Amino acid sequence: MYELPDSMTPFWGRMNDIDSHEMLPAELWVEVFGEVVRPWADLIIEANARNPSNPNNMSAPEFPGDVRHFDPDTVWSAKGPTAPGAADMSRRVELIDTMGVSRQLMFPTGPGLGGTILYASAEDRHFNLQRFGVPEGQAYAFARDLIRANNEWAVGVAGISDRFRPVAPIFGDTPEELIAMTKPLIDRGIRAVQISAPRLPGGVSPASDDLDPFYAMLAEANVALTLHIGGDSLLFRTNDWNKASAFQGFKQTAEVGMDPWTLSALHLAPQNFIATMVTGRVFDRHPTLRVGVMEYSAHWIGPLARALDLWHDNNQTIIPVTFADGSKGRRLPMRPSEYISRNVRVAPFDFEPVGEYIETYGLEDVYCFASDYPHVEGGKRPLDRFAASLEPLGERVMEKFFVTNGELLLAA
Amino acid sequence: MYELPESVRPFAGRINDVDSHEMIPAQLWVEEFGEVVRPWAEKTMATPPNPGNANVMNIPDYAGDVAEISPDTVWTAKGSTAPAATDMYRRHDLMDTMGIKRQLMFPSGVGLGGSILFGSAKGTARYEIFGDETYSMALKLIRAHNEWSARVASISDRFRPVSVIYGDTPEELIAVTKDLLDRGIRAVQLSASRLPGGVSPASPELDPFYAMLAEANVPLTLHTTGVESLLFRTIEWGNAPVFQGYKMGNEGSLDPWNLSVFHLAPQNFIATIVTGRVFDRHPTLRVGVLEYTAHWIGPLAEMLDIWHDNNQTIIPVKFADGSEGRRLPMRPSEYIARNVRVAPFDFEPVGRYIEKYGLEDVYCFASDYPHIEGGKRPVDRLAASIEHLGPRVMEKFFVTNGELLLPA
Repeated sequence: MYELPDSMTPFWGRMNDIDSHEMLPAELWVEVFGEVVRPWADLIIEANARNPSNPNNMSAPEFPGDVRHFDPDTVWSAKGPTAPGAADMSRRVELIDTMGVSRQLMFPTGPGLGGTILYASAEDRHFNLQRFGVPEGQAYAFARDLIRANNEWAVGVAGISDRFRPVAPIFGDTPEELIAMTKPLIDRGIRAVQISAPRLPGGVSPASDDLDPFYAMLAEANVALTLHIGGDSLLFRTNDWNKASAFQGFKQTAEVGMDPWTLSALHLAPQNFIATMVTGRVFDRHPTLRVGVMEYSAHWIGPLARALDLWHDNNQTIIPVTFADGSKGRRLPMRPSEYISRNVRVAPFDFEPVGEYIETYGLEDVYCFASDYPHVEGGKRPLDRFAASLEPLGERVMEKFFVTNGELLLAA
Repeated sequence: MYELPESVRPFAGRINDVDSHEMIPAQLWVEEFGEVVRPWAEKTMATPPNPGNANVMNIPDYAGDVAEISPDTVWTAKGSTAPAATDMYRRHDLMDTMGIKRQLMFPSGVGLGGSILFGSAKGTARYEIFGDETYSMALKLIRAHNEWSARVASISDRFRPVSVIYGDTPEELIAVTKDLLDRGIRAVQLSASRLPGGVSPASPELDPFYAMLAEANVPLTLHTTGVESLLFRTIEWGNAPVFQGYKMGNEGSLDPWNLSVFHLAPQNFIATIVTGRVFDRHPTLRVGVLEYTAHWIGPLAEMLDIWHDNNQTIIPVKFADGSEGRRLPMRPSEYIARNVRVAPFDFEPVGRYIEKYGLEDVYCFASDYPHIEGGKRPVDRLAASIEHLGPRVMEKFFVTNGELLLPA
């Protein structure tokens, strides 16, 4: 029988679990959530039938009911709608007792997640829902219907126990609509809500003063605002993220606005570009390709390399592929950070702690000196600040930063 | 007279500078780049001159490229009147005085303007300058810059003008680039926010393009053009055969492109509410981010702290506590530590995150029960990652931190 690691003993029964899910099988959705969810149920049942062995399938054609035994083995390894306590909410307290969990947020899997994904997705990612009776152009309206159906169910479930808390997705085209949707949910016992990360909440920047009553309401009620994965393709189809009074009154250069939102996002374009090239095997196919990224700051390249390495180690390929050297495998022959070290060079601003970057992320071959002459952003006497940051790493690394690394982009 | 820091002196004369610019004033653009750039020059010259802002390229009384080249001026002079910003025949002197061996030289006026317009999306202020003519004006400016840069490239191999390349198809991109390479260009710049040649950068249709650059030792560069752009107005970035054949989660595809970007939505959301002063106005607001991975929250906090230290506010603002200032009263990382909670997957090295970024109050346990992504016996992997930080940190991760989202 599974036993928790020794180091976990002090936390037994007191753990807080901030992400779990209901997982009712799709075959029950119409019965539980209402007729309105039928198109989504039909779509999922059809899609899951094509890959019946996937334990994350929401469809369980032979569902015998939520009857599985609770024990330390099953609660930490059973997955899918047949896992104990996934469908029958009256069993959930027993589940979390067996897990040693004190309180748990419970997100949707079925209609609530489906609605959330549709709501956050661009129109070309709407699963051809017309096949299941959703009229063309009505997918966003249908997404809202799914979410509303989930929330009615969630309100009912919230009354069972305060220990597992169903999270209700919320939406609104205006701040007023968002508030009007959220308030009754809180009044009816919901203690955590979920908002779509790639959509403007209430149609405005999350920093907008117009949302202050919304935030104040949540804060006062001790209700958590959550962002949970699920369909993110609408991100940046708008530029209104920085339309808020908090982002006015900042400097502007010829190249870029200097308000804090813009500064927090300006590196995302090259980050996406480099990530696409690395994971898209461009540097496997073109090992001598030279790529440089300038004036986008350099803080992001180390974390990007780390994140890509993380996913490299947790690769999700189904079928092995053939690489440029003729080898076959599921993973790129080198780690993403190694392709970045070999093929990519990035220039920091002079106020960036490039020495700290190298200490944290390595990548001592990646960062290069750039003067940005004669632009203001290049700073005055930037060599002094760069040198001060790099001196602790010694002359070998300084030689790389000021001389060697740049040679990839400035070949003899 | 300014002297290089002692630790940099061994590299004097050997330094490589991967980002510098020409900065010809708008008054000379038509003369230098041709009649086609007149609308852009006129727009620029219509902006008020601002001697206090060296990045303004409208210099009505421009006296020519006559500023002294000296150790003091080359590291402090900025703008179109800086030495050798206009007269490319002075550029060697400039670099010699800077101690620089080779230098990439990006555009400022015409080429940068074209690049910005090229990456601008409808509805943005930049797009509104030329409206529906934006794309064609962008190409005119880029082509004019490229003609100029091909001429300048022959002056010296030490400073290398970077040409801006474009194309609606891979074939057009290749044709534009090949012509420039044949004419002596040794570095090219692509728009980071537009699909290159209209396809994913990972598309095999671009292989001849990449091969051409690699063979010619010509670097491909991405240079900032701002953020009001076309980025993510399309999801074609991930449309390449190499991104097929991956598992699908209930919540999204697990192909490597998607995995590399799917955290950007919450990252943007959290950055917006932190820098937008929401947590200053609502100090007890509780925010959680689930199943988006946790690797990004530490770097985000670090990055926001860097910009906090290098704040670009013009006018002081009033904060919720009544104080006035240019910077938020607390550092962004402190708002995140107080108001935001993030759940890692069980395979993430959360212990290492805490060692690196602090934020020991931010990361929380989440089972994701009963989804597969939650992993089997996740407590074991998560405990193994943080055991060495001791029971105090473990208590935070498994118990205390989650209380923000699960209050009693």
